[in-house]
Amino acid sequence: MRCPLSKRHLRELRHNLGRYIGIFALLASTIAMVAGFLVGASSIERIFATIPETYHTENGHFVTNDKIGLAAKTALSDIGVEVKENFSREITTQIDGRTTHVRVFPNREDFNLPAIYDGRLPEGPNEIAIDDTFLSKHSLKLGDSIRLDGKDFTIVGDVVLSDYTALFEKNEDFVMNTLTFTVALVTRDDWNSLEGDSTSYTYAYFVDGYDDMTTAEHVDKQVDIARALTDSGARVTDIVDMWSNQAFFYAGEDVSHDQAIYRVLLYLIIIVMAFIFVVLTAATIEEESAVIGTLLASGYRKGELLRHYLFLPAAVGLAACIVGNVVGYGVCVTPFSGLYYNSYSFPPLSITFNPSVFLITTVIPFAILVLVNLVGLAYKLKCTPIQFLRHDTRKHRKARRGLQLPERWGYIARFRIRVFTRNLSQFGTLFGGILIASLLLLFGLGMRLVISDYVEDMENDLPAQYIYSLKAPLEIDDSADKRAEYVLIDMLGTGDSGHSDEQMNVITGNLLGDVEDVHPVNVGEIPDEVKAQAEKVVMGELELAHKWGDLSETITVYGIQEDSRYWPEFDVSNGAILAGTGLVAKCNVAPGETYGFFNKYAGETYDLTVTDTVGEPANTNLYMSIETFNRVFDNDPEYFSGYVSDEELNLDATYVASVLTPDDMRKIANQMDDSMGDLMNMVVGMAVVIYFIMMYLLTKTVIDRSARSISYMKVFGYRDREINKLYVRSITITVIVSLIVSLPIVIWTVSLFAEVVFMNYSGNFAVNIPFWLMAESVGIGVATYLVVALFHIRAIKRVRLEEALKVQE
Amino acid sequence: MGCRMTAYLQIRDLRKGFGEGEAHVEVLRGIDVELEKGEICVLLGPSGSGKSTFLDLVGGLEPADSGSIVVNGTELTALNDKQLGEYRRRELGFVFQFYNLVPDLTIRENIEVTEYLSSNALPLDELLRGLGLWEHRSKFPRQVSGGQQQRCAIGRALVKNPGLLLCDEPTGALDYETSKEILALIEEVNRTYGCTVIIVTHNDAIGNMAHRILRLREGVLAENTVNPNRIPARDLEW
Repeated sequence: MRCPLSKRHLRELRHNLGRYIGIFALLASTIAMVAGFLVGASSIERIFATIPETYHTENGHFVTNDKIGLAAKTALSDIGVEVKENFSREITTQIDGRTTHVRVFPNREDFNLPAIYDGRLPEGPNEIAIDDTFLSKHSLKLGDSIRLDGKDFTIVGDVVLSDYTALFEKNEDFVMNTLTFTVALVTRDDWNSLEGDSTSYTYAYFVDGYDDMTTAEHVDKQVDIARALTDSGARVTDIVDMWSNQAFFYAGEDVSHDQAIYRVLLYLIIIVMAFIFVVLTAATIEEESAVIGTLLASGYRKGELLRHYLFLPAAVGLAACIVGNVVGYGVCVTPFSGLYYNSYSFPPLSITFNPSVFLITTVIPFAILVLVNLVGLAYKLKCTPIQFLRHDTRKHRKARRGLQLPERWGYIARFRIRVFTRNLSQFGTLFGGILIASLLLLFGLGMRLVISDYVEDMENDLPAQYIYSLKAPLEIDDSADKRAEYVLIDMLGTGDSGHSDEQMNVITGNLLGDVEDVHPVNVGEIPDEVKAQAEKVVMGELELAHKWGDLSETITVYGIQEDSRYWPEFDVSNGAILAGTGLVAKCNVAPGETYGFFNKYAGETYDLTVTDTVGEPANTNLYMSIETFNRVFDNDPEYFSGYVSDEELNLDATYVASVLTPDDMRKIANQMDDSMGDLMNMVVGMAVVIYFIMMYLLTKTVIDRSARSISYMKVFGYRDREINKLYVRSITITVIVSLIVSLPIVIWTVSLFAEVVFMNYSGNFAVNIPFWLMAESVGIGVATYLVVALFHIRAIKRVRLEEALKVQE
Repeated sequence: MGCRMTAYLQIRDLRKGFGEGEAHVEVLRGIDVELEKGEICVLLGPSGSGKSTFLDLVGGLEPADSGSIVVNGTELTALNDKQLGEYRRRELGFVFQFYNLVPDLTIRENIEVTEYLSSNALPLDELLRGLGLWEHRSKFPRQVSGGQQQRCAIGRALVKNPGLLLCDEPTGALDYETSKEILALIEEVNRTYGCTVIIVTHNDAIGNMAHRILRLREGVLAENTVNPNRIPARDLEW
């Protein structure tokens, strides 16, 4: 026989439909959102994992200054490496009024294959297939045309290239660039006819047994490849393993990282909702205290009552899990995957069922919900039958009831305090809910600010308008004779690239860390005053362990001039080593302490003592004098690897590895804003929904529990407005105080959360929440509450006078 | 010496106090009493005399400080909480001054709530008719009068066919006529089903319907008399 108490469930559900719909809606929408996201993300992960096999993607690539010869190919073959030409032309054009770099490849046939979204691959003249992400960012469609090298190309294909799942223009770039960079395919004939700004002699390589090799073996293989190429006369300017190639791995890694954030978000909301259920059910238990006492006195077991009161939270939770999953799978996967497809270039999405997502979004949330309710309700039902019969179920009730308040405080103040103390558990849970919603809100509002602050800091920390990173120590200050001599050597150079062996040796030597005491001379003309203001720097890269976790920070080490005009504040004399302020936050660096900085390419650790900290919070660089740098890293005393300059330098492009300008920082800001904007808007929206539902449910319980007292007030002659003043105002004050008091905890948690999120990013993202942002956060909370308060005012109006006349024990 | 049947309820030197130290108050101070199966016992006494505490101890809702309570051969003071729960499930029916009905269950369903607990429950339809609730069986408690609600509470206590019916001020919230109806009902239930009934009240007149009258004064049993001149509940006056 079914327990007759079960007949109550449907009636209770109908009686408090608004309450259950609110909880159900929040639970189901959170689960739908997270399930949609995780299903999308795991489907993308699966697609990403199959890219190398499906699209025959390279194991890595290297760039040479010219086509490599048979000798090089044989040398590579001897070490189990097969190579394929993957040449590209870099073409600058105007798209959407922006200067855009298009990297054009000829159609690929047997490696790094494209996935076609729409249309087809180019088959005839003046046809082009372009990266899908770029097309959608610029609202370009099939049939539109773009101008390259003075010729109009018609877009016939919407594609993604398997070696460009993220549009990183250069592997050193901080973020991808979907706004002013893209990759494209044309026919071989068209590609041959294009000139562009330059041609990149890139070779994709495939290593026998690559998948079974460790990361260290991949690095070793890279060195072997570089050696084999150099030994056979090829000139290598760059070599990148596929798992170091941001254009390939970054997107997949980003998808994996984000899943942890969504899981945490889901569990936080589930825990809060579980507590809301506990508070609401506990209020029902209090209300039905005498009935429970009677049932216990009649022989009901506590387990039976526990199951009875647990049923609805569990049923609503289960329904929310099921509906959330159905909606998540059916509706949310596409928009959430779209967040990634908006930024990255993955092959077309095919959704796959993932048992672990089902576990994460259904089994675990349901288990959390039931467990929290089980513990909470078991605690609530711990009282004896007598205590239930006497309505003596609240542990501190007597103490709170008997709370003496000074009479000088005035009647209204004392009344409000008593409303507060009588509903402490409701307000306690409300505080928890406000905390989590504020956390989401401030995270959503604050992240864009954190990014713009970071970019601003980085811009402020840029010492000059141009920072040139060189492949070899290119001298600009030599005499005219020396320059003329070098031009002559250049002319005598061998090979199609037009560069001499000497040039090539210094470039290749630099790449392999085998720096020779040879300084090429820039042959281009640079005015004396421009030369005079430019300063030599030497740059390197080291790793320093993060203050927690297994990862390390990649740090740019600058060797600068002791009396540098670009870093006037930085005193690097007498062997001083200065650490950027960001390293304090990220790696716990402190002046006077010695740290082991690791060079992953050389496999060596350098123990360096930090003298002082400098720069903006985003600065994670290390500074020392050129002399100290070369001594520490065992370079030639005259060695340098870059220039800083406020004027553009006319340098031989062969020697320039990269140029950093303030414009690059702005590009970073635009790109990050573009990538994260939608997500952050969604987080803010979610926070407002959570605010509303939590505030409504928990404060409504306060009004419901006070219905009899409110009715008495009406009988005594109080007007609705005066009753609102006593009850709604008490709730209002508590909500506002909760919003304000939770702020320090929220800010601390957001900082910690941001630290975790950004720990994997290079650079330090300092969280600085300005007063206006706090005010905005509290303002949104208050505005949401005002809507809730309107419902309460209406509810108070509806409390009937008969309530006071009911039989009361 | 003749052989005497064991009483249904045996209480020996029952003591119960509340509070600690100077605030300690001994509510029951050595109660000895025996009730036979099928007796109606009315427990009288002024407020604070220990009537309800006595009922709570016999009902296994409170532990005694010392002494012995044996109900139908079971020593209650030796039982743990779980066993006390089983004892209440098997042996007891409770009726309180306030009916404590489940508000969102109908009259019938409220009775079914305890019918569910019993393996030898009384026929529900017959009981509903006997209680005069047949016409109201589909109504919710808020839709019937206080007297009908108390009838329902009695039905809820009776349906599982308990050996002992404990009634704590069952007429305390009812008017005169309804009170008499309820008492008559209890009397009839006792006659029909043979359960032992203890009624706690401060109304001396109700004692007239009892087989046995107990009177408590300051925690001590001041009177324990068999009532030779029982008056039917319907004829009671106060």
